[in-house]
Amino acid sequence: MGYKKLPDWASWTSGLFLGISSGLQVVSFVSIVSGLIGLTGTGSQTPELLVAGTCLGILGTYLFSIIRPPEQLRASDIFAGFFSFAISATLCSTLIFLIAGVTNQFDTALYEASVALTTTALSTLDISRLAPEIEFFRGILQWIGGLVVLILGAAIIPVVGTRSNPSAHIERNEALSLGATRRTAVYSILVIYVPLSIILWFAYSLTGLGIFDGLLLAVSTVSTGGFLPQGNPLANGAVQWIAIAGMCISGTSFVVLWRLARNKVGELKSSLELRIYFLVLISLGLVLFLASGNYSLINLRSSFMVISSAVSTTGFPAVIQGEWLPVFTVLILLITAIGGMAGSASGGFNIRSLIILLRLSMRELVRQLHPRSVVRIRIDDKPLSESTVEHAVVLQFLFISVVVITAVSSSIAGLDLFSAINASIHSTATAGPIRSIEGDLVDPSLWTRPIRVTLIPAMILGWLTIFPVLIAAGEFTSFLKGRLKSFRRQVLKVKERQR
Amino acid sequence: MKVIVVGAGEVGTYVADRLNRHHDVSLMEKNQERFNQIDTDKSLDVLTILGSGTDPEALKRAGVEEADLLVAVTKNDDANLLAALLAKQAGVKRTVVRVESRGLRNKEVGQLLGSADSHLMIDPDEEVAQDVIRLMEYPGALDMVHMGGGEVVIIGAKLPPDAPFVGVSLEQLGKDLEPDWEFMIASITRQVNEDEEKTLIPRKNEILQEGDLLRVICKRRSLRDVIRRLGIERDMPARALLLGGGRTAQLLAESLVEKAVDVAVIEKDPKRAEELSASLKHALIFNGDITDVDMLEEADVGRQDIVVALTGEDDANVLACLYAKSAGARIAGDSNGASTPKTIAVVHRLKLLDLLDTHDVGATLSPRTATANSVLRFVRSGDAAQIATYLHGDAEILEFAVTDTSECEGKRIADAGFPKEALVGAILRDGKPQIARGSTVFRDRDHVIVISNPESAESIGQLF
Repeated sequence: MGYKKLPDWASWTSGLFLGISSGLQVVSFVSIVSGLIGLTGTGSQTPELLVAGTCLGILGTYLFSIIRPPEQLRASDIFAGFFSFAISATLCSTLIFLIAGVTNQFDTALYEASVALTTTALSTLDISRLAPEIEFFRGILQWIGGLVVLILGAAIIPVVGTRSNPSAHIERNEALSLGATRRTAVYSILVIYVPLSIILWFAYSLTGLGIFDGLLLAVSTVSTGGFLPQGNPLANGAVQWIAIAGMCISGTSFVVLWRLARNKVGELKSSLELRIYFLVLISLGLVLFLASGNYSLINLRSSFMVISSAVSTTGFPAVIQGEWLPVFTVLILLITAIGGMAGSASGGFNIRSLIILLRLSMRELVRQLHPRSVVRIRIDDKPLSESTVEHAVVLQFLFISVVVITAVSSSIAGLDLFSAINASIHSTATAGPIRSIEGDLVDPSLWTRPIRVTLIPAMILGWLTIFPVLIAAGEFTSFLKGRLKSFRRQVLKVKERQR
Repeated sequence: MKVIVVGAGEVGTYVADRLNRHHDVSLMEKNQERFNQIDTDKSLDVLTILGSGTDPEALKRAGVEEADLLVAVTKNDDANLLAALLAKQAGVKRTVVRVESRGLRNKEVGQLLGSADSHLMIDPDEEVAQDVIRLMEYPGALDMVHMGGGEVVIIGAKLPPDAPFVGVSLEQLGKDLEPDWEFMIASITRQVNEDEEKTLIPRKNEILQEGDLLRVICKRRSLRDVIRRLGIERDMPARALLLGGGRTAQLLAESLVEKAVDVAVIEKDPKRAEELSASLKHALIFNGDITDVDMLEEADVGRQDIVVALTGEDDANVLACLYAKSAGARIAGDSNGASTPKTIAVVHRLKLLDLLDTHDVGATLSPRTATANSVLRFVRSGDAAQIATYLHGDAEILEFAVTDTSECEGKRIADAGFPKEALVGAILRDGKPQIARGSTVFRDRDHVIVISNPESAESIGQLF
């Protein structure tokens, strides 16, 4: 399994198995900690969590011990690692859900694990029936999921180089300010992610929510996961205001937060993406508030709750106090597909990609008039390379393709057209909850099992910003083709000898 | 004065030639092929040295130990700075360094070269860009020089048929301007026949004619009035097309964009076009050849307010300017009210200038003269505060400071003994400009602006 044993494809394989090993160990750790948390209460699921966690941990550690790290980090190695981590962590979490008795159906457990890790707010779990340790396990999974997407989106960039994940590539220069190496970039992300979680935890706790529920709500906010603890904590106005602030921060690029933390506010003033992000938040919040016809402070808060939840793709269930117009559903669907800023924990194809596409469209219009004009697309006065622009276009195409394929699949599985498109966009953008055209929240537990299964690939693709999955799949296909050709050569050799 | 010029490129050769009229000049060139060219050039009567300015041995051969001034004008900033530092170490008191990198044009680097009056940093591209900007601010002007700390302006323009000056005699003009003249006509360049033109110092019975190329010395505050009388009053251009995307074009485009002018640039090299597109935020960049008519039409050349040709190829610059004029004339003929674009051509070969005059290319500029102005100004700063060189007629404009020991101090201009080829244009007294008259008396601390031919410059200097 090591690098030297399989020299022709071992680098990729090492990345793959490192991802699997990491997935096993991470889920093991979360499972054991959750089990131990359970001991503070009745601990009804603690034995299952401890046993399963220990077994996964041993397996993961063994696997890690026999793998040699890749000698050089290629983009495909890293993407294979992230992809295998995603699959491994999802399957291990599925196993934990099954062992802990959350559900006895594999596909439902798989769906819940996917929803948790991908930070998609489309859970079917009945929270009131969950043991605290399972709640904790579920909450921490989304926190891990949010962290993974941040590391994928920024920290690997200096290592991978310029032709890697396009959304990450677009942010390359930005991300470099997080750290010149993978280690420092990861450190920078942790330095923001962990304290931000703690601050939100503290803030929620101050509202009288309780330490446990405050923690769950904090990890849910910071990871844009949208998973709520028991007892509808969002009924409290103070909690809502904190959630609005938390979601706005979570939808912001971590580079922005890093600069803010280092008191480099001046650099942020020129950020077009940041300005658009807050413009969308504020203007749509006001549109919702004013157009709904209820001018109370409560409705103002609810309107901003709905919009910040959609833009940051967190998915906290919120309803406005006034009249819900059909256009609101369409607007929310649109801003959910776009999501927050590049380099944030939010889903969607991000505002930066949208700016690039708009400027690309303008360039093509100019080229209609002046075929020999040379126009570079810029963001914040910085010209982007053509490969970055191409990648943004490809990412957009892939995003739409995933949405379309998922919509077709889920409609075949039984959803009506609008619901299929709605569910598909929310899954790919790792957002939620889904609303009907009348503004009612749709309960995913009412969907059939085949419908939920069709949404899982979209969630994982959206979580990992599509490319790593496809690149890993491409590598795997190449590997299979290579093996097949090798087999055919052997067969031909045997036939030759027989002649 | 012993002068060493390092780098025998376009600028270095011209500066060496100009300085050699009054000084002992050595010209250094490290490229063998280029060295052979200048060594065999009979029109260039300077001491040529094969070697690099960064080589102490070569500098010694050029006479660095006796030199008073080193002018390092190669295209390599580092080499220029190193040559200047080596010269300074060898005892050369004053240095002129060509530095293109803005990062190197700072106080720290300046301190390495010594006190502010002992060195000069120049950038030929920027000098040309600034000259173009000055011409664009007054689109009808062919050339414009600011003297006396900017209080006095010398402007050159060709009189159009409808100019208020046309048909006016200088005597009549003088009566109109009494008692305090705001401007005076310093020279008239007139077409004698198809092939010949003549520059003359105007007399009072001279009548100004259509097509006369006038050089007018005026107070800065009267510039608008002079522009109006010259019949060349126009608005600042709103659309500019730059032909060629070299460094000068880039600097020019940056300045124009800051002045809210719509700028388009045509560059032949695709890679350079990409670079320009990356660095110039609000300019439209085209990748194409400026001699390609389709390219010029795509860039809407006829509808531009101004077209500036800045490539390194004189013939391409001239042809493109001529095409721009004809395209503008065609459009003007099609639609009433439209005007032809003003054109400015950067010309490297000075001998082409006569041809350009007869073909109405518009204003012309030379990187050589732009740089030479700065260098000569610095060289003569001991006795002349400022000097500029006109491209046409090879006339020099000098600025002198009168001291209590000056020979002309206390004398009337008419009696001071100026050569016939010289004209005292303006005097800056207590910071206030006044147009010089024959009866004006020189006083201590006056700054005097004189137009003369280069040969008379030294004898005029002796009067101060």
